[in-house]
Amino acid sequence: MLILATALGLLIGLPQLWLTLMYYPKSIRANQSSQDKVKIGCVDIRALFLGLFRPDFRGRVNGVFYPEVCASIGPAILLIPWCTSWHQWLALAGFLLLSAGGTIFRLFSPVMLRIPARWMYWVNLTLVFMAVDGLYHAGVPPVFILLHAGYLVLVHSRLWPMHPFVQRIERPSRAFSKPYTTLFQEPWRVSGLSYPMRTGHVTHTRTLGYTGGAQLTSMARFRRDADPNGSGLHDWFQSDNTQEEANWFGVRWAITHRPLRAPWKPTQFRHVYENTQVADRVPNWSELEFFYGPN
Amino acid sequence: MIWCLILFHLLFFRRFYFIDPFCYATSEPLELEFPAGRYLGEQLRQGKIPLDDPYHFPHYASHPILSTFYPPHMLISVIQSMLPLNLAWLLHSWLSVLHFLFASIGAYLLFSVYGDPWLAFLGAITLAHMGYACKQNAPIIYTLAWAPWLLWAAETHQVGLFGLSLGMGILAGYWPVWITVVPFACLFWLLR
Repeated sequence: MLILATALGLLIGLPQLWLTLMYYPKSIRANQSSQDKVKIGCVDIRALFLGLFRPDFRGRVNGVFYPEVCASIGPAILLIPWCTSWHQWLALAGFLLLSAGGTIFRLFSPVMLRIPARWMYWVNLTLVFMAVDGLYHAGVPPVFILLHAGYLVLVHSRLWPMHPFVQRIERPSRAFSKPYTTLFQEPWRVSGLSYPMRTGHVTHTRTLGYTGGAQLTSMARFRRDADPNGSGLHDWFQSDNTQEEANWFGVRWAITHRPLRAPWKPTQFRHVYENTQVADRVPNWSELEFFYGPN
Repeated sequence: MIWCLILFHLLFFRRFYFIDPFCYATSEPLELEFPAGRYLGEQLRQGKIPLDDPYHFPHYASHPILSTFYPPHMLISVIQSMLPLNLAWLLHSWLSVLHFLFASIGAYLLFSVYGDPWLAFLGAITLAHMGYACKQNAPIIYTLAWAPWLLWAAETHQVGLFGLSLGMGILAGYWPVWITVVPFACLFWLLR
């Protein structure tokens, strides 16, 4: 029955599974070693303390944003000593070891997509199971449950949305209405699009392309991006690419505070420049893969 | 008890429901997920699955975090692509927020095996709103919401629900966690 249930699930997920598994070898993820995966996000004692007991903490912990290590369950953690299930204690120990990013994590690293802190989900889930088991055995009065609910409403609700390390909160009608977007035409690309317009989908603006952690190897090669997690750069002038490459890639406009010189000329909008040597024809992603792909 | 879960949900997301429905319009949800969803909706309305994207994502549909094939996201994307931006945003964010309620109902059913509704309530609100679950990215919220349903299906050996939850978790798209949820859910099934 379990095999049948799993087969049904895989069948439902097949469209995504198929496309992603076909894409994976083309992305920089396929080249990540277990060493790359433990560069950030290993959960040590300090990170664990912050994650369990300081949901009010904001900032980075061992190179990752705080939500990656946050495993707080509020006052319910007081019930854990009453948990009598030895396999839950064993599971907790195992998940803590995995989240630490040591030898055990490296053994599993081929199937783990990125950082050790992602195992904190399991630490968190196990703690909830242990708290429920503890409550079952401790026989705590219902008032404790109400206090616990109150804590979650008052404290955990502040975890959503994440503050303060996020961009400003803005209505989409305002955020996506920048006057300079009227200048941009397809099929040419724009460098330096500002938040939140970086994907270009709302304004139908072609960007420099995705340069994040699952970017194409061909994109990373073309942009000379050596970061195993993807640089995420949207600014052409922060990379080592040449003017000839900008012309070939179709980068016709640049939004930048740098004073650009010829062949870039200023436009009627401040900090927006136009490339006067850009090619008439812009290569698509397939051509990028053809010229810069792994094979 | 379902009303208690709904009441808790409204209190937890009071800022979104009663104070500022745009409080969530920030960071990756506004910069990545909402625009990508709008593009998905535009393409679906033309009868196309966005296998490619000239604007930003080469191989758009291959990125699981864009939840291209997740049915609720597809439906909302189609509708939101026809609406003015602010209204479209509200629809997009409601879908994310409602997944927390969906997760808490699944967790309530999961912990109901103890036979005590208050105990199940504590488990439900804690699992759905624990520190790691309070993420703002839609694919993470969608995916984690299916975990208690998958575990409940494993606990009670429900073939259809197990398959549906497993498949929906894959389509929802946060694989870094889901890839670990599935083997443990299978183990859960075998141990119960």
